[in-house]
Amino acid sequence: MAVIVPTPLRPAVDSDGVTPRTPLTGRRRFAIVLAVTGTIVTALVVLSSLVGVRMLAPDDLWRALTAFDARDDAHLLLVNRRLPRAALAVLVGAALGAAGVVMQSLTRNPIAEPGLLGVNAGAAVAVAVAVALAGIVTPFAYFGAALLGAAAAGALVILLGGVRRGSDPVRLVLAGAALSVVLGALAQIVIINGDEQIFDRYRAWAVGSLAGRDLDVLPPAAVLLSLGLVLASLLCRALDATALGPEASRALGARPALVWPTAGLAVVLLAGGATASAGPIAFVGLTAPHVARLLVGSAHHRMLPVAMALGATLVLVADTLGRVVAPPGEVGVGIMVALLGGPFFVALVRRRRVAPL
Amino acid sequence: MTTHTPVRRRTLAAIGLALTAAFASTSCSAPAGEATAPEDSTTATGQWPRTVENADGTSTEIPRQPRRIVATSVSVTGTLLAMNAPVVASGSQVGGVWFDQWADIAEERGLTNLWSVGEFDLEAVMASDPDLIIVVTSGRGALTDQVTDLQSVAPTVVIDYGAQTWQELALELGRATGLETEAQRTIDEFDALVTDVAGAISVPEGTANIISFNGPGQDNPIARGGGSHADLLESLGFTLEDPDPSWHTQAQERADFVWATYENLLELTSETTFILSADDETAQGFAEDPVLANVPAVAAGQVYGLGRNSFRMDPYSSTEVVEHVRALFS
Repeated sequence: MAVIVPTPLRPAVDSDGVTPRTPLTGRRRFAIVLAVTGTIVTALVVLSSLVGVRMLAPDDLWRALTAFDARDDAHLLLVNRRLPRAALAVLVGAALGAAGVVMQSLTRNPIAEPGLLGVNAGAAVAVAVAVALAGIVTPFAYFGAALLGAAAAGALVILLGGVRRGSDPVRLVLAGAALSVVLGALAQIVIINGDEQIFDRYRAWAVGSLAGRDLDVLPPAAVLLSLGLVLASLLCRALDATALGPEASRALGARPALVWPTAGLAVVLLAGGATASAGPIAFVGLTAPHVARLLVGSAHHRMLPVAMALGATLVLVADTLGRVVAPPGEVGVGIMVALLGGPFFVALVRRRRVAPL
Repeated sequence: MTTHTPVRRRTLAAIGLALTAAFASTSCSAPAGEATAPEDSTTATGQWPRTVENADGTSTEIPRQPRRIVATSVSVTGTLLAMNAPVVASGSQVGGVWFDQWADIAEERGLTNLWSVGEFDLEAVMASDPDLIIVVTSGRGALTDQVTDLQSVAPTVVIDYGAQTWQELALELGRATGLETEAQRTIDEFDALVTDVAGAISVPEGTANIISFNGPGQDNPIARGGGSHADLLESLGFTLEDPDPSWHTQAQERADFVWATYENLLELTSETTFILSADDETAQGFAEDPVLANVPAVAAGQVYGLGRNSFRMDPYSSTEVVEHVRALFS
């Protein structure tokens, strides 16, 4: 949770960029929004753990937590699969929301999202190569490959984007888009030349899914994503300044040479970790920051935790719905998020309520 | 493993074309030195020419008993090898490799590797100088669009191996190649092995199931009664558990497997579980899954691999499965 620090770097026009508010009103609003979203996330975690091919009762969950019985299949399922999966959904959603906040502020681009830094494409090509050439099958191996690919691609984009020559958002986004196309093509080449099993495994990863990634992936994901979240929250002040533009931010004493690599590392940890955990999931990193900005304004110490809670909400809803829309099969969380987030974002844009950065 | 480079293929194609032209002009059949003749006992059985029905509804006339067969898909090659058919070239799996269960035999008989599955090279077929080409209609090795091209090289038979057991396939191939006796002998030998093993083993109490275990997050196909895997275990004396068809997650229903979600595996009732495409060690991934601890087969400690090559049933892999079951339960 970000600490509320009164700061001179905060934009003069507060909150949603339309109505100036007093700090007290802003704080109260933030507290209410955070409490409501936090409650929603908790309720969704409970719901998510009960829904599946085998529907469980709240009593099963209560007894699994208070009087675990290894002979009860419901308890085994809850403790080993459903709860870790819900926890991973919260982590992944929060990380994508936070990554979106950092990226949008850093590039001052309202449609920036983690995929734009080449992170998804880097992860995809690494997974494709690992599946096709090394024949990996375990979720943990997917995680490792995807994370390495995401980090390498992220680093390459930052390098190609000319971060050493100062912060140029357009150049960075172009580098990300170009590298994404090249890496995407490379992944396709590898997969097309693989057999059906390789294609199936890759497809299962590429649609974005939390199924089966729970136990193996949760501990390393928790460590990496927590690191990324801490780093992002430390960047709040700097991002407040960066969002004002290069001149203003320099005038306010921000140091782009330090902010950019740190923010880049945060994005790679957050988006790379999330993609490695669940496959590519679009829209969360794009939508959550916009909604957060509408709800609590563009001060990062408020926007970041709200975007994290909204990201977690979106991923939990998508993952839970994905298990009930086409039983007994599952629809991947990546597809469900796109189905839910797409129309929502279009509606948001059409109402012209996208708050300016 | 044998692979062709394009250059080598072209060279072979050129030689093949030259030889074909030379022999055609002197009214000879295939080059005598290169031909792999069928065994004496099976030479020139039946009436020639003969006409066979194809899976695509057409028919093919085969003028004389084939002495150089090309299988464009790797899927039927094992059965051809088992019945000693004079197969000289075949498509291979992804990566240009043969199926493990008969790779040694293919090498021993000098089988030419035409291409990896999904590829097609007419020149490579011509270079093999076939007098019969076998094309399949299912899987990634299907070349139904190239049948006309292939027919310009040699009589081409179209087979749907997906809808039949290897025994039925062997009989069909026997009709096309004049090796009916060899096909029947292959089947009889296998049946004798099954009878022998069925008498030698003690089948565990209760029922058994066969699962292709992929873990949580993916479908886990379970063999249905009537499928070739279930049939084989039943012929060895096992009683197969038939999975609930409502567990199936795919749009198309299948006669051989139910694609079940991971959580449906908790509903299984058998005391014995065989894991497809796995050896006994790999199969323990199922037994060690924390959620499946109370599944009867896991609780009874009776989870076995059906063999690494057990997914695709041909005379060789089926024999491996039967011998493995003998080793487990006798």
